[in-house]
Amino acid sequence: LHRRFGSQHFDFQQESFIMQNWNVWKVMSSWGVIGALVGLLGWIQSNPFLLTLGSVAAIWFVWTCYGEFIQRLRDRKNQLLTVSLHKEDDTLPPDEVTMEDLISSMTREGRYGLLLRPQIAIDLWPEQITAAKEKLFNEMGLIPSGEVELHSASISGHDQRNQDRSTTTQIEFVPSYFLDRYPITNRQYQTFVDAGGYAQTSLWDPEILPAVLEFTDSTGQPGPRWWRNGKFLSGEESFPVVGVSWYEALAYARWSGKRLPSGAQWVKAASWPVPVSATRLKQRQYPWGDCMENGRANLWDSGLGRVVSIHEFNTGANISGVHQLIGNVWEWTETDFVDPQMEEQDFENGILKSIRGGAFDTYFDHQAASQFESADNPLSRKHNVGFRCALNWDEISLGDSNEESSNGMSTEDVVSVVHHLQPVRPVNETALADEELELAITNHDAEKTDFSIAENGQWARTSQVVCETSEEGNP
Amino acid sequence: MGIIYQPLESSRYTNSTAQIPCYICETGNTYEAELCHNCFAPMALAHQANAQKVKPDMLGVVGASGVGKTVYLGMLMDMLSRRTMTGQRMHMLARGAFSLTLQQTAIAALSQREFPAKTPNEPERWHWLHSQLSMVSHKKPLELIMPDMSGEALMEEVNRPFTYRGVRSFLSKCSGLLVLVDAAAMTRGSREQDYYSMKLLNYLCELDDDQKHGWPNSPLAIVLTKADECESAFENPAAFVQHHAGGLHQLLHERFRKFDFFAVGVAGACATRYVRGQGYIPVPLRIEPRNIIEPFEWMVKHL
Repeated sequence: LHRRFGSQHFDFQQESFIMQNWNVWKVMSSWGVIGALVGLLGWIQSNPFLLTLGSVAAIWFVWTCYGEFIQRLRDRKNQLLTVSLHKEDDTLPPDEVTMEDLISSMTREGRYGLLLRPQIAIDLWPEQITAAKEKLFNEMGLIPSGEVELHSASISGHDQRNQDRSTTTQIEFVPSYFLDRYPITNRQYQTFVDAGGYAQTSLWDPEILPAVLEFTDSTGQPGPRWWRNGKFLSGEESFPVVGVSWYEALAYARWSGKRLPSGAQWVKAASWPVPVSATRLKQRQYPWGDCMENGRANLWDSGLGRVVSIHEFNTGANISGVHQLIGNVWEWTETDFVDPQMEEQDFENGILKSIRGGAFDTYFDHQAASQFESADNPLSRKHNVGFRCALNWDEISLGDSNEESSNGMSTEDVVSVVHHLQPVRPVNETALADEELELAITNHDAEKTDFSIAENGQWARTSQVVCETSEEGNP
Repeated sequence: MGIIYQPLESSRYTNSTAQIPCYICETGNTYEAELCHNCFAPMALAHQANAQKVKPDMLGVVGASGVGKTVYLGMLMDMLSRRTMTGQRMHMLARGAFSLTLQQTAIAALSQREFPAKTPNEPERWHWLHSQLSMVSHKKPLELIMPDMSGEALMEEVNRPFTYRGVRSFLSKCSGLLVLVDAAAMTRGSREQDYYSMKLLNYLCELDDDQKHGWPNSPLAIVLTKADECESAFENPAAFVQHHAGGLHQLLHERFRKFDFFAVGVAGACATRYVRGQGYIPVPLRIEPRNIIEPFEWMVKHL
């Protein structure tokens, strides 16, 4: 049994044992009392026979009780181990889950973004760090730092090619970051739903809490719009999750310790800019080049007319192995939609959030290009809008490789870093501080602490607990 | 000295003197006439029908002003012309350059995130489509004529019959009608769509109420446009009409036999933007056609 919970289990188990077997206890205690009295009488009268008889009865009573108690403890321990081994999801109550199980389940669920935060990673075992990093590199592609040109076309409708009239170009520096290789799937989102993500108020912006109650599926259960009974439809486990609002996407990202990519980050991954001179960048229209090729993306011209699995259209991946940036589903980004031609963003609809990449029903190829930006109401839950998550390089601890460069890394560094990642701490220093870690990993207990995005776009904490227990402080 | 045959100049006018009936209103026009002087329909329709010895069917796409007739027709034409017979059920081919103008202007505007300009009220400026529709289920292709009429002109004709002779002539000869209704406006509580549609349907019954060959037995597709702004229209169009346009729903059930409800969307999302001097204008943020072909396919099936 876990040492933290051992005493609790003991008390509970003993009480329950006594209460459930009260009749047996009455008989046993009667025999024990009688034996003790007989022994006492023998001692008073100096009668060795009675003294021996009473002592034997008392010893028998104590031995029986102790044996029963030990057996109960063993049964309880076996029961806990069996549950831990066979329970695939992470829905065990906190008092029945060991810290190791919690960490491994978080890694398995793709919440390594939380585990790899410096103040948490410092308390993990090297094996746990390694597992989290393996998961990170398996599931996310590294986008190197650099500048990216953002072409913002006015929605007043002028031809995009006529850039002097309608399009403004803005150059933005994007530090290195990780981007999910695939859009978030129904299966991944199911984990979030099953973990009670819709009930964890710390994951949602306070002003949106009234709307969270309306984020239900077709049967009224919390979940994406077209799910049923809180579950995704059969056969769609590897499909990108759709029917989620921007806020739901953001809540998932927070739960998994990640964030939504900004517009510049998304364009950086899709257009993969290369500086060809001091002032000029060569950017691609699509991740594979400048021409649309139907077999590389699920758009209207591909003729499928529906969302497909994330494992299809593999030839459309970008250089770092990020798939389906173009087509299949639009992807929410963190950025507000801004029309460069408008002095004030006088949208009657209110603030719109930028979406990128096109979907299976995008009619014009150029509207799925890496530079094209569309938008939608952040509360809308469309059939063709999903999302993927990002993780900033400087927000996580990958060992010594990323400590020196706070502004990210160049393309040349990418390969070397991937091959030289080391555990954060030597083996002999990685004593697991259970209590500290328990406080840090609190998405199972949302009332204690959680991560949130502050107004300046940086990660912040809603509680000081983790910061106080961290040796290195807040990044 | 040889004989030189010189045709008399007067013989060159024989074609011009023969009256060519307009295909829409059957008014006689000269051979060189570009538009019918009565209804302003292109005379090319008549010339093509005469040359091919095929009588095209006429399909109407009607609805209030701003409901999306031009967008729907342009998108329908473009989608059907992009489809290939190998994988799809229908393929449309324009007959004559004039038939492509509507498709060209509508698609050019949409690709630039604009809605096409409003169709003018003057009939001589309307776009007419004459196309050949090939279907997997039919051996012979179908010839179709579909005009893009102004919603205001339609309403004017409904309110004051014989104002627009072309409209009246066309609707008299029409084989079926796609009645476009603005679902987004209905969601906002507007009853205008309900009244407009009921007026139009009553006008049709006045034109020809023969129970066997008249409008009561002709196919009517009630098409909810801009349904991308109200997802419930996609889920159950009939229930949507019953809920938001009870009068139209009742009228259809009492007077017509062949009708069905559809929901369509062209823009994936729209923003309403304030422009100085123009007020609030809708802007399509992206183009994602949904269910565009289904009502047309149903209509063709019931012709």
